Amino acid sequence: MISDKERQIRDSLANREYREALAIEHVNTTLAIQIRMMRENHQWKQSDLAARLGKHQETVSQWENPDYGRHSMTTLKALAAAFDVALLVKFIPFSELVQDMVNLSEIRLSPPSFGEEQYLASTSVAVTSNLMEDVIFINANSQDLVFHYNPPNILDTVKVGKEPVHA
Amino acid sequence: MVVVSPIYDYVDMHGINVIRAWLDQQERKAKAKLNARLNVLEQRNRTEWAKFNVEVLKGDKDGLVAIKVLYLGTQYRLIGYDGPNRGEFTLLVCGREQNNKYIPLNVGRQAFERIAEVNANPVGRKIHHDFG
Repeated sequence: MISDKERQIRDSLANREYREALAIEHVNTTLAIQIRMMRENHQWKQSDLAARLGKHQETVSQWENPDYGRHSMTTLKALAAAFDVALLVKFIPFSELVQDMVNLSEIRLSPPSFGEEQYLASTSVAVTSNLMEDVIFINANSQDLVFHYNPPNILDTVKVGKEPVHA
Repeated sequence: MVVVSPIYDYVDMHGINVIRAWLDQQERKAKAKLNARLNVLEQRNRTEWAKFNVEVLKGDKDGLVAIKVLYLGTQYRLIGYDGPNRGEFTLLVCGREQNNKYIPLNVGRQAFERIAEVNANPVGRKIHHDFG
């Protein structure tokens, strides 16, 4: 069932100027948050990430400011490499934007690195939810649902209880 | 749908959502930016908001919380408080900040008056934020 919030956002898209701005602001804000969350999950300071990319700490601070909004493709590719995650840039219909806006789950904002995925694959069975296209990890032994919360060196998994899985 | 820290709008004695009314008066792109920010905040734990240009105010606005959004040189300020119920955040007054002064100037007094109204009638004087 569609929520009030989702309906409100969908209705607001009727105005072209508004929907264009909303799409841009959603990207700007979520990019800033993603960079910050992935950095923190790696337990890196801004200066650590800056050093890896040959930038100044102030630059990383700008990238993590939701008001910044001037991330270049080059920067995003470099960040993806630093965090060992994939970068996917594509054009989508506004209906998909709304879905993304109302589903900013932890795993979507701070996806596991390749190494973490590999680790999880060796200990868990991954099942794709039909609701959010998120990957849900299930412990192969207990069949409990688990979500993965980063720190990369700790490879921690947090149980969220037994729930029905939408395969 | 993910809602971690629900955001509410203050509703006046006539039943008007004054936050929605104020947003409707802003430039469309500014309104879009403000709503995009609120959408993200609602899906993050309240304890994380400080990372996203959200500040607890001091002095004559002690305890009020400002969501700070910059759009084309204008420093927008959405003022609210943590309440009325645990885990809820209610927007009370919207304005701007210029030369370290809030506009409107009486934003603090107005906000505290509205807190009293919301606390006295938590059901009737607030409504879930209107993202439309």
